[in-house]
Amino acid sequence: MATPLKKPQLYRPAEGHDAKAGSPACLNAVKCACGHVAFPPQHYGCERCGRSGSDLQEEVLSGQGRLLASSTVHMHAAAYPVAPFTVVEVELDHGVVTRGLLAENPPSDLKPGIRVHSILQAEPAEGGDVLDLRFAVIAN
Amino acid sequence: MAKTLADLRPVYVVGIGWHRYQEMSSTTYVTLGLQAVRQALADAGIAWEAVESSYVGTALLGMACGRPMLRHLGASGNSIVHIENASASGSTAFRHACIEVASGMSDVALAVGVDKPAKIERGERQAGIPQLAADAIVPFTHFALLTNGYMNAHGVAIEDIARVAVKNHGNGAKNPNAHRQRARTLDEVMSGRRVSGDLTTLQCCPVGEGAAAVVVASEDGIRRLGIDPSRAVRVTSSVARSERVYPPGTGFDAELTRETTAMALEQAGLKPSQLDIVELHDAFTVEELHYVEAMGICKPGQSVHLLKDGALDIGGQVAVNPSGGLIAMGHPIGPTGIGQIGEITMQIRGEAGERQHKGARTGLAHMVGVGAVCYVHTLQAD
Repeated sequence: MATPLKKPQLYRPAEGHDAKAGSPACLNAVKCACGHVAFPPQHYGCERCGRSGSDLQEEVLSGQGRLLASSTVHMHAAAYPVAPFTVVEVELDHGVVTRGLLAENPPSDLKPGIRVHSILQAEPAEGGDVLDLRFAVIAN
Repeated sequence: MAKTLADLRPVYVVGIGWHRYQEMSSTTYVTLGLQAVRQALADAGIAWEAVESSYVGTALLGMACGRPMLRHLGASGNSIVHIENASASGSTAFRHACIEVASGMSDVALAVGVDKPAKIERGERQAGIPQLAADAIVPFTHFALLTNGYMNAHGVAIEDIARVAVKNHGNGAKNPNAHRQRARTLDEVMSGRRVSGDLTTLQCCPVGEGAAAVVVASEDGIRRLGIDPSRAVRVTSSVARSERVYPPGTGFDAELTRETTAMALEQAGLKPSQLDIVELHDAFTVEELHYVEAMGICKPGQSVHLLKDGALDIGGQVAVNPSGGLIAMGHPIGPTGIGQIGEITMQIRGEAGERQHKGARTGLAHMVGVGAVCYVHTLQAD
């Protein structure tokens, strides 16, 4: 039975994969008639040109990208995630930049420029685990 | 064709005042604010009755906090406006006080910033757009990411960046209004508690309370009230911008500052090299380097060298954050941008004592706020 996705508006398992821990994921974005691609997706209006409605169409991003920066967080006021955890800034397809959590403890050679991809990872939640998106280093 | 501040009638800072920025205490915001306003009025040599309009910069105090404070100076019946613009609340309040006087609608206006720490949620959380990891990313992580990117792009070590904190704590130690008044060695800065990435607590601004006030006036107001014109410092530009969509790979922090500062310098007829004093938004050490470069004071990647050489010290090429900046002077939010104006005014008047940068005639105040927004003002001796 598939584990529920924590934020299904934002991501989905990659084609041909089930919603389970470890599956590769792709990201749901929007593309405007002006060419601007935005993540997270929204239908209020394009930040670049203001078009809305049918001018904003769904666009799926591969979830693969290039690491721009990372930071291991040592102090965190909320209950989850539990510090230390690592936040990464990633450049995806179409130059879309987003920030997310790293799947694992940061490898010692985690530095800007390396390739990462998106996977689903189990996270505790009320009523059982959910799957959230994480970035992971692509092993050479 | 829209006008700039310089196109309107001249507006001057004539009075400045503070309540020291400090750790949260049981002091009420009314006490904090009244002290700053009374000091500013005394500095200007005018009575409260002379102030025609008040702009209250506050991000955290809650609805309608202004009159419950200002009425204790005598309920004047004059306009009171509250301004919230995240970290830039005070700078925004200052801008609008200047605009009101420059436009001719008032001769004398007050900008007072006051805040006490409180939990607040950003409005954006109600926008209904889910985010991947926004809950996990607070400002210090945003700037830790920036630090990581900057270190990698320019081959710079965290020690080089941390030197910003050594300089600013040293400046704060000479400032009786500063939250943190203790000089720190590089070792002390580096060995503090790690917050996010390579940022330690002493490289981050503290959370605190405080107040700052500035009175601005027109030439008519100065003459009519017998204000000493030799201590009046002219505001030569005021620019406010918000974040746009930038080309991929361009960080918004630098680009927003670059654009706003370039406009302000152009309006004031200044080159970056002419700046004697810069008070900028150094909530985190890396920001000082980032913004000094974005302002055109030096090329990208070069600011660490300027910093190491003492060029950004009081007495150097340009004194950056002589007050101690957000890191040491502090960042109670509402007061912050207004306190910057006060520091620059003090410097240009030659009244900064131990913190005096000799020959200071031109100053620039820079503030950014979540949104993002950016405010830049220039002040110059006539």
